[in-house]
Amino acid sequence: MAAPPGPVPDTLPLRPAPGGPVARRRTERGRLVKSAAGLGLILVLWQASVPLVGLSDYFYPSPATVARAFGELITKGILPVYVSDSLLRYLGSVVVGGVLGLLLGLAVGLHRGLARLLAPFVNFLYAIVEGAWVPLFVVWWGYGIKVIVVLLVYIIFFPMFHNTMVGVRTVPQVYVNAVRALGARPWQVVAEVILPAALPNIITGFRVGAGFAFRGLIFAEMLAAKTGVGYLIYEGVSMQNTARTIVGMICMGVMWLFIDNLYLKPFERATIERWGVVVVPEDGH
Amino acid sequence: MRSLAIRGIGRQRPVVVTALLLAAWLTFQAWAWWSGGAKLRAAGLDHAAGQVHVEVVLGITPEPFHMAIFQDAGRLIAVRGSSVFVMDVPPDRLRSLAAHYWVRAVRPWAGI
Repeated sequence: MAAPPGPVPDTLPLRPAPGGPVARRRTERGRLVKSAAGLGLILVLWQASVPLVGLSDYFYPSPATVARAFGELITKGILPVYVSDSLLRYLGSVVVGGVLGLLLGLAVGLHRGLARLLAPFVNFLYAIVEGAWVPLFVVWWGYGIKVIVVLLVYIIFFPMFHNTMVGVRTVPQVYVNAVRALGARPWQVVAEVILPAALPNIITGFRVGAGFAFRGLIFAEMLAAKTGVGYLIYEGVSMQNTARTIVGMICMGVMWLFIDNLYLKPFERATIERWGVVVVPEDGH
Repeated sequence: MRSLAIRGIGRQRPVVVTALLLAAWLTFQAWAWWSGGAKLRAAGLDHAAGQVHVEVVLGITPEPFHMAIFQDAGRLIAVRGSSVFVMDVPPDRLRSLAAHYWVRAVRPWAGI
């Protein structure tokens, strides 16, 4: 039922427009407060559960013990080095693997002959889990950074390759023909039509690959490194200092949240909005 | 016009946060390098021409992580309390060793 029209008030209440920057900032602040409250509640429950569980610090460290371990790792200069080592390995591998996957995906997507030649082999490799390669990589390069980088490149390559190839192949031929009819050169067709149309797939592949690679980083560092957050997680248990293991796990989660929220999500939002495929809401959901 | 452009860049959170992180990291590195030089100057080691033997006084109890750094810098001879004795440290390695914030002081040592 529609409300009866009333007199227009002289002054309107000063309310931020829904969806405006002020309202967005308020929503963001509200979300932050709720997240902080949730985190605080978990910490309080965790601390309160320690005397109830009644186990030693080795089996069930309290938040206070974990905080002490965190402080010690900072004071000793261990954590900053481990975090930066992990981030550098990750960044380097993501760039190399992403570019390789993109280039080969483009080539295979554009060239049917190449697709027939390479697709079975790539599919075969896709089925081999990255963990299966580790022993062989270690034999070839020994324990160290090379194994980690190659493993991460391998992990990110396939989602990137597959999504790029699918994205390129699903571009409607009518667009390509239309641009060709207007006199576009092959590289212009790729740059102006195929790449933009395949971009949502490419970005999805990149995000999926980046997520897998991050998990792979921790796994690889546990196996083949002497520094890094993955090594910290492994070393904590072997040195009977589980608080350090939990510090490593928290660092891993924080690092991923940081990478995803600060770089991957805005990147995805910007590229998808830029090419007008879909508008992602501001909160990214 | 210029302020609009600056505001446009400033609105991009990834750019701002990355720039802030980079600035913080560079500031820290500069401070660490300067403090490393100061530690060496205090011990009269800032003009060491060749390899030197040193006692590195730490503000912490060393762990395998630190031992690896000392072994990389020279010949690790002994650890007594919070002091680490290293021989044959080249001048460039000495500077980067002293730049670690957990190194309290570096002193000349006669060696064995």
